[in-house]
Amino acid sequence: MQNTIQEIQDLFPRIMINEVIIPDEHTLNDMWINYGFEGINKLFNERLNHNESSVQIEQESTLNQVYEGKLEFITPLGSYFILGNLSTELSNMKVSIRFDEFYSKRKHINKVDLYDRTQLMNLAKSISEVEHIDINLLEADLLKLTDLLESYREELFELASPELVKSKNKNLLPPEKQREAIQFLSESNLINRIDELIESSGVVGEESNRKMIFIIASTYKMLHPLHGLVQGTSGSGKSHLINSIANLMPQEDILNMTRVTSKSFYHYQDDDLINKLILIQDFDGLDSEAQFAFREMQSAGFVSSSTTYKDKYGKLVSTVKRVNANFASLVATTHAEIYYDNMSRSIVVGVDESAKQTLSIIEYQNKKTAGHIDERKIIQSKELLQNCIRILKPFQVVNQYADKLQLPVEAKMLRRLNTHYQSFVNQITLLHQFQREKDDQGRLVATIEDLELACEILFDAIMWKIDELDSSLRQFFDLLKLYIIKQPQGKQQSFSTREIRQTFNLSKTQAFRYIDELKSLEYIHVISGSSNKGYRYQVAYWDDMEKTRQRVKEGLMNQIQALK
Amino acid sequence: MRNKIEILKMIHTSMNNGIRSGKSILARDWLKDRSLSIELTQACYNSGQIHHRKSDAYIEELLSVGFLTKSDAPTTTGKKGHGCFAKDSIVFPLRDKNGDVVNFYGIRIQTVSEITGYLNQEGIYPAYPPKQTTILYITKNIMDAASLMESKQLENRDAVMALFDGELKPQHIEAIKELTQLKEIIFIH
Repeated sequence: MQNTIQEIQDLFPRIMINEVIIPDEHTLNDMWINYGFEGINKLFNERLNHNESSVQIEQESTLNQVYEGKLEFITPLGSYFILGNLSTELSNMKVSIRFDEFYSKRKHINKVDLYDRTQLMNLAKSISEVEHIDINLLEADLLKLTDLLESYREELFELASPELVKSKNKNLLPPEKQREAIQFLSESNLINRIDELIESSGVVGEESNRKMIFIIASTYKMLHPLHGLVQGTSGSGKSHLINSIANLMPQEDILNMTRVTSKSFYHYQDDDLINKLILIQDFDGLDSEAQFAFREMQSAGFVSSSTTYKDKYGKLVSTVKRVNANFASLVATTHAEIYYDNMSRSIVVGVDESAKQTLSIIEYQNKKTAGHIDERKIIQSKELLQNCIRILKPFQVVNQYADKLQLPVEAKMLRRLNTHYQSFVNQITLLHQFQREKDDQGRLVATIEDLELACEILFDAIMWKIDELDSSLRQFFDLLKLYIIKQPQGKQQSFSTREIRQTFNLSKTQAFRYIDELKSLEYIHVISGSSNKGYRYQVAYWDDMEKTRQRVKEGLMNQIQALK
Repeated sequence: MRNKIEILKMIHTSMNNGIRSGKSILARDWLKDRSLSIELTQACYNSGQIHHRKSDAYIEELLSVGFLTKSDAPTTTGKKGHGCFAKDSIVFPLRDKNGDVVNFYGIRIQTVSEITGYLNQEGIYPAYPPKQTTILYITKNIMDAASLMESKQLENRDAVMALFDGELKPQHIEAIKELTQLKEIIFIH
């Protein structure tokens, strides 16, 4: 018999094994006949234990989540399921609870408040009556379940609370990376070297624009951030441009928004919009209220709304909710003109839509697909630029040449343009902060080199302010003039919309829009034709933007030379 | 020819009738001496005459399950004689996991030393323990198990299993493995 006992013990180590030894010369039958119930009882109570020490304690039952909205709690009596989400009101624990009895597989579904003792007892009583289970065991199970649910609900609350989500000091760089970045920022010819890195990180073409957008984006940490508005027709690569430049900024500081609801800007918490770079992929998608809030934050630096709310006694109280904002933004749109108010606060950038740019993009895309581009180099360049931005600090800048430079008077909104220009110069100084001197108040001193660079890079943006036509229209008009001059009748040549559309390979709506706008600006006029046979147009205004550009550029350069 | 389960069921019915018939006084006295009841222990009686005056096909069936064995004993009809399993014995049925009778254990009641025997090595007496068992009693032999069941020491979730005279068989291990709620095993010997 001992062998058998050992065998069972080996096979089932977790089960307690006891022995009842019948005295020699007797059988259980004898005992039963002679001693009856009491005798057998006594015999069994004296049973010897074999392996109490090696039997392990049963595991505690825990709460499992089966899927969203269903929690499971398994006990020896059966399975309890909590259906639906827990109430957020902490004073009650109203649940829909389903109990599956273990053997009979019968289900009991009830709605109870587990914090209410009476309801809990009634539930236990009703189940115990049907299933013949000890009511105390059920009550113990339900109380345990209530405890587990309480801790579970607390965990959910903590997760939803915003304090845990933010961690302030994320951008602590390891020392070698810091050194590398400082080294990079301390050497001369910084802007050109930044330009090289931008190119090697995957931004194709747009030589003039990319530097400007990079500098605009890098102002987000500084005291006076700048805003950029990228304008171009559908599919010209505006989003691509802002996204590729945004990738070169520390990603933790970027807010990339596809959609903005009208009132969302008014309800941000404290630091949400401080020192961030905001990207809006399609500004045309914002409604007027959101645009208004955005403009206010750009110029004033905060929005505040006066609203009412109910205090704890139910009384209506008024309050002013203020959201502080200090961000730089890059926004893409197809129609820059429509957002006249926005235009003044942002530096307008036009996407290069020429055939040459298209070719270089295609070439780059092909190279990438064929595997000729070194991916590691791209990642390295990105990382270096990101680290450089991370270690820049927001100093104040003094520019003693501020009042010495005059911007061309033909420019629209000269005041704003001036502000932009000054900020731009400041930002260039800030980028060079490891190479510039500080005055005795700890402010960086701007040099003539900074002014020169600013003039060069910002030149296109200045020109857009002078130009009546927006970037894509200007490019089209220049091509049109070149085309017309080559025609047999020279400058007097008339043309139809179809001719233009087919020559320049435009879509129907695109061609129509261009012609329509030029017509309304009176750069072209109708010379003959009718509405059903089609109109023929002629160029009415042969402006020479080239000449103007030349003139303005020379003017600025001369001023700078004079300062040296 | 019917299958084994059906044949054994038929034999079991016949033996159940046997113990309840008016003639089997000795069998019932035997049980009474040991304070065992028919209802609680599932005991029945085999007089050993089950095959008398029965058709050849019937005898074939009994032979197939091993209940009868061919012998050279003389018979009144002149045909070949047969030996019967557990002749003149109290018989206890052993069941498989579906509850069908698959085996018998018999105790000769009129011999001086009680001769016991198993028909085959399958089954468990009294049955496979139910799944909700928490305490399992294992006895050395069937008599002990019967006495235990009779003494009603068993509570709601207890069960008994009898070994084959102290021998552990594969079906015992199989049965224990099914018991997910099992907490304790008590060996009685």
